[in-house]
Amino acid sequence: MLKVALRGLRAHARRLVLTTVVVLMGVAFVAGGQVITDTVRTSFDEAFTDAYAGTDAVIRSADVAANAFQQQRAPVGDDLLATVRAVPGVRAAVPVVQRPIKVVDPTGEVACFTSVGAPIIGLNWVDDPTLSRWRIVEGRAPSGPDELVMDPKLAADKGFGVGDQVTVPLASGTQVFELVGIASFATTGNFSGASGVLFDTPTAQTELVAPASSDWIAVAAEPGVDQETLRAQLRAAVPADAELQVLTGEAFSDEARSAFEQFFDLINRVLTIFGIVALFVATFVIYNTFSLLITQRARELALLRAVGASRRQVVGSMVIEAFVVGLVAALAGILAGIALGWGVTTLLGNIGFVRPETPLQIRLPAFAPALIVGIGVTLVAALFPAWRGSRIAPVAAMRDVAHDAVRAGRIRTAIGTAVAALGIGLLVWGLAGDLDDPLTIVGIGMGLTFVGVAVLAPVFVGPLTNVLAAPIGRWRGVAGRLARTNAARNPRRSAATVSAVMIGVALVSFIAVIGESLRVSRTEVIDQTVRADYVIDARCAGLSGVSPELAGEVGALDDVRTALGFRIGLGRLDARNQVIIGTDPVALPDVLALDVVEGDLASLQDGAVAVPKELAADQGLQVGTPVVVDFVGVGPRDTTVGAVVDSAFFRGNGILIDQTQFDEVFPATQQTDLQVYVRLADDADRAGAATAIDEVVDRFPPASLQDLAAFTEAQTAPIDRVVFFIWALLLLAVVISIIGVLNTLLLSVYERTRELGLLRAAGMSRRQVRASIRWETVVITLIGTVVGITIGLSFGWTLVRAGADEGFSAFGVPWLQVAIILGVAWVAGLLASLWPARRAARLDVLAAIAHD
Amino acid sequence: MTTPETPLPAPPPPGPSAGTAAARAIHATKVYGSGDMAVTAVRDVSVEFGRAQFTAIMGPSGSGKSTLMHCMAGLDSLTAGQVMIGDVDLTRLGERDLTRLRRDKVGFIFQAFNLVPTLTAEENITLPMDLAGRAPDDAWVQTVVGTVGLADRLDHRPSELSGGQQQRVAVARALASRPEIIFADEPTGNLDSRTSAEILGFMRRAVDEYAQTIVMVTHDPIAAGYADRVVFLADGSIVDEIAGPTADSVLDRMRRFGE
Repeated sequence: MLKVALRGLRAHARRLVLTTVVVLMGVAFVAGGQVITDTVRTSFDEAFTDAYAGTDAVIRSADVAANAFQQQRAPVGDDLLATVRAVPGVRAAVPVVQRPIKVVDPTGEVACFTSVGAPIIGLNWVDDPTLSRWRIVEGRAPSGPDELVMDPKLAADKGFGVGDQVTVPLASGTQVFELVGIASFATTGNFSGASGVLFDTPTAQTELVAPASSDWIAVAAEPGVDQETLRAQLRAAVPADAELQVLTGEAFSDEARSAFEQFFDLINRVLTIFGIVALFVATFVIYNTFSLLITQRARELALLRAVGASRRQVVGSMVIEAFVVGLVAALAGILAGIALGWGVTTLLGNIGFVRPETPLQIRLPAFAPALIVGIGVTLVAALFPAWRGSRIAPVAAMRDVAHDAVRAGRIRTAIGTAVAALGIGLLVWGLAGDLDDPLTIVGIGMGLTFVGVAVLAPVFVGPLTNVLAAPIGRWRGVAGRLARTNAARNPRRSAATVSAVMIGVALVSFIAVIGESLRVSRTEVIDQTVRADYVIDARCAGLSGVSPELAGEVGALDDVRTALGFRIGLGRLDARNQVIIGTDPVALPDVLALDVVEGDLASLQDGAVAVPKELAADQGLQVGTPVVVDFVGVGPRDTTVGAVVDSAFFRGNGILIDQTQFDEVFPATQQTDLQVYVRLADDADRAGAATAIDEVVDRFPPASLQDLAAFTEAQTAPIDRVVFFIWALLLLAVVISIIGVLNTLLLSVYERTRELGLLRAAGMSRRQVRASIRWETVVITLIGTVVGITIGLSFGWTLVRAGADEGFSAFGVPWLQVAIILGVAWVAGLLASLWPARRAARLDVLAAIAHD
Repeated sequence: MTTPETPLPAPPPPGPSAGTAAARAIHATKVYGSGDMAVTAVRDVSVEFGRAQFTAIMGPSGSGKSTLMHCMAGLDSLTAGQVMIGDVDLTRLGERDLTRLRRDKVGFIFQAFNLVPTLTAEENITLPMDLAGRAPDDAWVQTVVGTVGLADRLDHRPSELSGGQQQRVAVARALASRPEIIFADEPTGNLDSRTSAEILGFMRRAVDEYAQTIVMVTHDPIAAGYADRVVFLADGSIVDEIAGPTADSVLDRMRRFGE
């Protein structure tokens, strides 16, 4: 029987090529993701090991607050250095500064980290060659308050040369430095893609942290002193009450690494999810191929059964075929994945993200999941057709043609409905329920829904074809009518093709709906809450914005009624991490609509805090409730809740304090505005006011002036980026489904050889044959697309309803994107039809009629 | 097409005890569909096929001859009655045992599509043994192959063989596993008269020289003339039979049906 299977495989090899390709693509994605993640991770591991190899211990403050995006840790003072250096076993101890920084390039553009792209980091120059891996490669080290050096990549990218003037916007104001040298980090130039700008230590401390303060103190041990001993010695020597942490160099390095570890895990997970989606779509393509092959081989299978093959042997031979296809595809997919990984890591190497000396990480055991999934998917998809093939009655061997009987019966409807209902139930539960890992539940829910709809598909494909294709039949004459009846004649086959298209399209539209709903929601919130006419935005990530002078100068303009700055710090309210927003509570309602549910914003001027009502409800706060606010670096302060506010703008996050109080507790580098909201006077000359504001803003890089439309655009732009990123990843699934359409059509043209020959003999022109195949393809693709869009919109609607308190206040249908999806499906259908149509048209009439 | 005559080897050891029939139908009835749509294809047929005999079943289209054969071969199930192959009652067998019976005790020759297209002639011949996981009896296979004159075609795929050659492979396959009985369904239906004569000649020799039992469904009086006995079916019932038929006597009998 093995022989029969392998011979069959060889005979049908050409018909299995596209199936193999489809599995290969999914496996390549999973395996490639693994290679990329492993390589980047190794590169980062090496970079961190490299960076902190000479650091034996680190002393830093234990006073830290963080949210999802930022971390704020209190600095350590240089006064500690003398104590540390006196500890036995310490060879050297230096203060280290490491903060985000902005640089104005020669064209006037501000380069900084804006939550996308690589960060630019400001550092202090450390002479000790073991405590710092930066080496001067041109010019000299910075010295004094007017000099800096930078890494070669930043210099080259921005067009700086040694001796140039470099403008750097700092919290204290914009300053001009002289570029006195180029410094290279270790062997890579920059730090895994992050650029470095280095000042001498006092300058870095004053401008980026606070005078004579640093982010941590790095310690190198005397030879022969191990890290743990050093740590213990230091721990005993530094004052215990100063909230200081002492870590070994290794622990510090591991911590820095683990921050990225989560990021890499996330990337790997995301890539794996999309690979699985692609393979899920591939399942339908494989299923279809094997169904078709088995239909075409029905008589052969019946003959085998007649001469004594048991059902098990028939299934076995099919499974062996599927296994070989899966094995070949998975192995080729892993090779393709390695190639993909090589390509991507080479690209990442070009931007410095991956160290050139890090070899491509090919860990064979890591490919096991890709291999298993690739083979497994093929086997599972082939199993049902194989089982059906084994049921072909032996008598069929004696009949002329074996028919693939289709029953769109009640059982199918019941099963399909039940599975889809279960899927939708899981989906809703995952979205609405309070689960630890909702993503898995939601994913399974979606998967089951797809399976359910796919099971139902043979029931609705026929009627849907008639509806959708009726105009084509009328419009395109005989060819159109044939296309319609062919699309509807084997509902089960059309259904599997439709399902493959459906899944990709559903996910694409789902993401589009989420994006659009978020955009609409945010736009609504801005429309309803922002009373300002302009927003001046500091644009760069980090807690340090533009000088408060900007708000002062803009506020002083004639046409401006209010210019209100917002600054941000991190702290704890009753021991829970919170974003702390400093502003002028009295002017606030001028620029932002917010309901004071309880209390009075004026109380903030006396040191009280305002909390959003969501937080108040969560922590049981009311006006007058005494609370402890712990500001990083200052320590806990007792105060009371002065107001409870309700504003969609803050989305329940952050506590408000008065600006004066903010400046008392946060360091100078944060006494800067991240945004300034500007409201014009009612009788203002708007055009003139805009010009006047713009002139002021130009003097405060990196601030930029945005009218409300631009502000809304800037606030929603990240959504578009995410949507397009996900679309790019989903492209694989869509491409696979289109290959599935192509595959089905090719196989069915082969199956219909005789019939096509008859049509040609009866006088159908080649052009008509091509048209009929073309429209059949388009109809099938469009049905999949329409069903997919419907499901995608429904999923989106469910998510938006379930996520009403997660920032979804509105459900938006992205009509333009829906139209694009339909258009793309049409074109993709046409493209997929070219090859099968050509084959069908080129059949030799006589040979086709004689075809068995 | 001419085939070199191969000298005949000594007959194999005698088959199972003579006397009992190789296959029997006892009050066999087969009804398709139900209610108003019911069609009785075989109506209370009782018949025996003797060992080492070549029996032809004849009858007009729709007479139930193919259905009777399918039921007797275990390819289809009866509505009522019994079918025995040797002393095994097919109506008591499950799917698994029927498969095994077909594999081990029954040989088939169909009108067309007798061969697995991806296997060579030789592989097709030994297929039933391969399916059973049994080593073929090489000497016997050589004998059979020699008898049908295929020795130089063994490596060919079915698509590389003529229709007559394909049927010869089918005959060889049916003989190769030494089944208790061979069922042939219009084995010469697709062949020209000369090739037909060759195929029928091989079947005749298998009965005469190897004591093979063969039951053949045909509507060709010439083919029926090769048999030891002809059973006539009409409307699902046996209406007549002739022992030691010739093409003329069969034709003569058939003409009388028309009257």
